[in-house]
Amino acid sequence: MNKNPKLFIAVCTLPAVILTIIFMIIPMFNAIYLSFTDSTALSVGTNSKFVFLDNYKYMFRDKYFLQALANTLKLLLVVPPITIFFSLLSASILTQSRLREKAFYRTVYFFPSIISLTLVGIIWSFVFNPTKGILNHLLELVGLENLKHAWLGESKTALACIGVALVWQAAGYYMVMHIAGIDGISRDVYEAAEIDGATAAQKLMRITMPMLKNTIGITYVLSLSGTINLSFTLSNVMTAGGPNGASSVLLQYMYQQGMNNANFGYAMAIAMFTLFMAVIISAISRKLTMGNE
Amino acid sequence: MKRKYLAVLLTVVMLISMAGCSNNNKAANTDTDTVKTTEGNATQAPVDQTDSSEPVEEQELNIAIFQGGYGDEYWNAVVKLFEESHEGVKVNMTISPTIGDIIRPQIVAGNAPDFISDNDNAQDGVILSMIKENALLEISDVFEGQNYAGTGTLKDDIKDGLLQSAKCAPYGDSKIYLAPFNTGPQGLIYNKTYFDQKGLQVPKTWDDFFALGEKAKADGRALFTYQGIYPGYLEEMLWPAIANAGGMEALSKIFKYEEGSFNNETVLSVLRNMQKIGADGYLLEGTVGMNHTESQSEMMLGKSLFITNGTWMESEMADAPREDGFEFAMAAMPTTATDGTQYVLDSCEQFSIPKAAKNPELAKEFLRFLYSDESVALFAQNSGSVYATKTGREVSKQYLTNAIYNMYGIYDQPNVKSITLNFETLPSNCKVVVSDEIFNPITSVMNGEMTAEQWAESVEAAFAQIRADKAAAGE
Repeated sequence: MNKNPKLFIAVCTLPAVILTIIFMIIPMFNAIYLSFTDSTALSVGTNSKFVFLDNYKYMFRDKYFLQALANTLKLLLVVPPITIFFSLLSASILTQSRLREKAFYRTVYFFPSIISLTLVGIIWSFVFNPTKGILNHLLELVGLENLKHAWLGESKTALACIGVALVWQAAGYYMVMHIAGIDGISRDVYEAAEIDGATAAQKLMRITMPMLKNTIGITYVLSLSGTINLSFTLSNVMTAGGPNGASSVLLQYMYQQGMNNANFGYAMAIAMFTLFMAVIISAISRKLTMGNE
Repeated sequence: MKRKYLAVLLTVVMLISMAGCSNNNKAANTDTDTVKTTEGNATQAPVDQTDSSEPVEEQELNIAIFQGGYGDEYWNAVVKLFEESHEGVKVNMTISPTIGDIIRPQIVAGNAPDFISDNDNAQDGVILSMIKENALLEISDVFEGQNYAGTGTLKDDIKDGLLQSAKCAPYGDSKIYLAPFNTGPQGLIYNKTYFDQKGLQVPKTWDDFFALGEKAKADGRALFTYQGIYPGYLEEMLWPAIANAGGMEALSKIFKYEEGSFNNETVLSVLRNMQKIGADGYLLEGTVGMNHTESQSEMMLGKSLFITNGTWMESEMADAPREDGFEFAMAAMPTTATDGTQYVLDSCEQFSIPKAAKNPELAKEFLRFLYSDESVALFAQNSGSVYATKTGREVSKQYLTNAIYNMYGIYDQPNVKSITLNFETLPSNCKVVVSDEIFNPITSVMNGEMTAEQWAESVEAAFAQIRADKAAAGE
């Protein structure tokens, strides 16, 4: 074995490579092919017609697709920065403060990311419920009745509600990553800053954030892809994409066309577009966060 | 040594998985000979009975059942009864709330079940795909043939109008590819006790409806609520109201996606009435943000007089809290004139047999058996609902709750007619989701973000796209 470590490494990685090829690479190429056909969910390419770019051309005339695209972009613009901000803030507080319940808070904040996403959707549906929801009741309690809404049923608020649930669900997960990053920063740096009279905010802005730049870059990209993926479930559970498509997102529309409407080819075209968009956005954000390297 | 154990273990795993495959193949390769039934039970004489002295042929029937709100008790019972009355027949049943996701890969792999109970409008889209792909077996012969009891033609036992509708004959050529399962009226559900106590009358016209809304307001109730984030339930209001305002002709033009069928004064008068529910404060506050169970609960707690729904609401909401003395009752949709016909939209679930079924004849026999009185009674007994047969309601009477029996009584009221959804099948290249195009704008209309006219225009635009797709597909 010592004689040929390369062979040993190759043999060890082979199962993973084979699995990746079978379950990731081949389906992806299959999806690319299907996106050029009029396949239904049944034929899956066997007796479907090759329609070349028709699906892609139709996409940009399809008002529901454009609406879903706009909604997804809005979420991508707002959700990852807020998620990363809250996760950094809580990571910073939990590592820097002398709270005795640190471990407890860490568990509580992390908890939302390990429960089923469908459950997260249901929990937030209860929060936003127009008659029984805690949010409207709290507003009533503090005398702000005029701010009460049918949160999930109004086009101005539905998407924002999904955004809130997304942030709540993901912030704890990235917090743990950031805590791990902060633990890697030498205590001496913080102590030196404290001696120089730095405040907690200054330590966060001047020490933690610059030194965690790499980690933040990665968590930001993860958050982008998480937002694209997870918004599908939350939108399905909380609003069913409504009202009138105001909270529909790309993957949800893809699912609807593929499964409910039996337009598998078109759904794959939407999936390919989403993949392409996600890769571009991730590349741009990586470039921006790693700009100085 | 360890290596030896590992090799043995791997061999065992391989053998087990191969055994699994061969078992599958065996199930898939059951013979396709015609069904041979034996004397069966004493009361029912199957039509194609054979001499019991002949050796009984072993046959398997693979059925895939969508498990909805009615549970699985009926299916377990009816499968048992079928096996008992058909010697040598073994039914392999797969029943699940996500049956479409289970059978889709099987169908793609060429291993379709023999019989499917799932709907063309199901979330999984499997039946819709099969319609688009011409993958269903024509079953007109089952309905042209004798019924299970041998007392007449099966089609004469089925409720009028269903077999001719697009729900059963999806290609518009009167050939039957889908069989009707259960059916029931859908309308305005209200609390009969409350109406009796207050001396209120069920509204006949839209004016009566809104006048009742004023009385309800005075009593601290809203007039109406619906299933909020699932506006599709309002089909139970929209189609009957359009049929009333413009006759069946207006409806059939819409079902064919004809130009101007939706954006015209007749339809607009209905859309404006629906808009008025939201604009004039007749809608229960917060409705647009609720899901189906939430809005149904609110109605049952006395927050609103009416909600659109079907007979299944009683079992669906069996454990929900309700105001004292709550009793389910159903009213037909309001009309424009006092002497107008009131229409009721029928629900219709479906059975089908894939073209690729391994044992289609046995599947047809099973289908015929399902319409037998025993099966219809079993369904009522286990599910509290009624098969789409003419005698279904009476056969099931002893097993139905009073409320459900009375709700079915809506058909007995004078001037009430039932309608079935009859949309032409879309061409396979069409990407329009018709129900979304028609019903999704409702929330915006109720919120005052869209007018009835804009709603009609957006539906017309979708219909135009469908016509263009049809033309492109050469239809």
